Amino acid sequence: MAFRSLIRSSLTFSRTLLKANVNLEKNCERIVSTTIPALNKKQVEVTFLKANGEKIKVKANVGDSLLDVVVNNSVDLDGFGACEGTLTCSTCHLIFSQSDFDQLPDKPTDEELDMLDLAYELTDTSRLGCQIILTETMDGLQVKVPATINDARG
Amino acid sequence: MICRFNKITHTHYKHVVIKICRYSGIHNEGASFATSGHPSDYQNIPSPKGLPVIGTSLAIIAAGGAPHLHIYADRRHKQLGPIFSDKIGPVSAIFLSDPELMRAVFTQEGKYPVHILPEAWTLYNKFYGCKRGLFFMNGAEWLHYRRIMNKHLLKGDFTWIEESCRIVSKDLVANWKVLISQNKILPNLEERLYRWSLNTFVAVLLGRNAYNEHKNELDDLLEYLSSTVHRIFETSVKFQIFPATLAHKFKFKSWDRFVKSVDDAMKLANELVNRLNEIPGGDGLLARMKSENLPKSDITRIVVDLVLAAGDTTAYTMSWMLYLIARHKDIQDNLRRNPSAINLKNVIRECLRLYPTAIFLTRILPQDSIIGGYKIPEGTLMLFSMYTSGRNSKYFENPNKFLPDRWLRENSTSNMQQVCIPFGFGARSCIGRKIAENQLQCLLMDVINSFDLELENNKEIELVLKMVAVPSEPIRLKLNPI
Repeated sequence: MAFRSLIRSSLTFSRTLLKANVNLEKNCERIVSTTIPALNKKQVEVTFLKANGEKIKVKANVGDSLLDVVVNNSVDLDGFGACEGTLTCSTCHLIFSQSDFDQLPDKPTDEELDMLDLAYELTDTSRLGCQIILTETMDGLQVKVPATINDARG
Repeated sequence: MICRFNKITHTHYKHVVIKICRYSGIHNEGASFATSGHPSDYQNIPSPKGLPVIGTSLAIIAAGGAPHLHIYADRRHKQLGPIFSDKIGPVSAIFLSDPELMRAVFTQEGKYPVHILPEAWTLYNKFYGCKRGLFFMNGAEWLHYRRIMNKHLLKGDFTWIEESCRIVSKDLVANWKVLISQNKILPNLEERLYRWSLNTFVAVLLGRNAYNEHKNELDDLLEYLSSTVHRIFETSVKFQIFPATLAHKFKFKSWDRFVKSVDDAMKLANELVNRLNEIPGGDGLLARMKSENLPKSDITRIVVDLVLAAGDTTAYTMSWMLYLIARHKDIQDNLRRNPSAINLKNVIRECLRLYPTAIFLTRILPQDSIIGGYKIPEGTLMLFSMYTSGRNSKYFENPNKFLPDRWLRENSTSNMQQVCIPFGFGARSCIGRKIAENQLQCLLMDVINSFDLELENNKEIELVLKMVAVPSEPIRLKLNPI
């Protein structure tokens, strides 16, 4: 009996070990995969429409904010996201279509609304890009980038 | 919190081009911006009439000297409009009070915004080879450290900050309950709030549990540090009226006293950080900074400056807030009945509108810009008159009244938000904002739940500029336990 139970427990032990190994591998894979986002992460397409009519289409990771998308893809938007997502400026102001705006999962917080009040060309469908986290359903999203960010340059 | 230095008095910055004051006289009373079309020259910006050499110093002294610089600027804005140029001591500057103008400056501040530094401090750092924290850094170095601090102090979840604030607030209220058992008038409010502010920052550095475990053994050091930092405050106030460069050059006692007070405070603050570093098991800001693999010397210089800067800003804001709610019984009772986060926030915001801790926000233009229709050259010092903008009847009905409900979203306007930015705006805004907001909210809530406040001062207390916005006389509160 004792022998049998010993075998059983050692079997369970090796199974646990095996599982642990698998988990370890899975973890490693996950860690590696974040450095090669294109392979495993779900991606969606986002288009930034600049005031001069230029369209910039990029691939973006689900789970990233629209500010991350601009930074990671080096999208050329001068002065965009100056405070780096700390909710202390409004330079990542973006304008959505009414239907996209209505479908955004999170409503703006008071802090976001306070900062939006300091944005140029504020509309009823304005949001701060740093607060919008991409989901799979946002594939094909098109957002307008307001023009007046740098019009005081001498 | 760190914005304590965002004051402007006798200050100097190397990029500030010292310009001879213009004596073009007063352009159109109450003029606003230059007419649209071609931008107008810098010289056409309205400026006060002054005597050569002395400039406008006499007029400032007539307004009550440097402690009343905001009153002086307020009069000038009423006379000259929302933009005027002036020479304050050795520095030529442009004062702004309109939301559009301020916003235009922010759009020009670039990747590495620059503010003005108090002359006495830059001199000290230069002569003693002192490496300082975020406030004194510029350019890529500043952005590097600011990004690291942003990650912990302005992004993500702030529950850990709130927990640290809560424990210090509870301790303070318990202490006040004992203090008022004999006499209901609370003694030395100012010092008590300063100590509360310092303790809160130490709790944030250590994390709630480690602070709670070790707070008693730190008590003596914190008490000593608290009184020493207060001395810096008094010795640097002297240089609001007298330029530090001259005091240093002619070996005035005021300079020696300033150096001694800074030496002492820096030594103690360093000792504090070393002591905190030895405490095991902390999960606060110090542990978070260590996890960033920052060298110990960098952690120390950043934390020391935060310790020095964090005290009086929040302490004085809290004094003003207690003054206001003690004076407005109806608002105090309303808040006690409904202490929701939004109501507490609106009281804080309304308090900072009336008594902006940093009375003048400053920026130095990094490039030639067009502001309000005027061509303004690179390197010009821009001052935002927060006292004037916050009390402008164009944006605020009954501007001198304490009405927190004006900030309810259904009542507020974009312009109100734009002119009332007590923590600044953008990449270089106050790094301690979240700590300050949490600590003010926690204590305000605990105080109104524990005491009914009455004001013992008979006359209205004025705001004076002593580095930050401070009350003209000590605030005396009567606390009735509930």
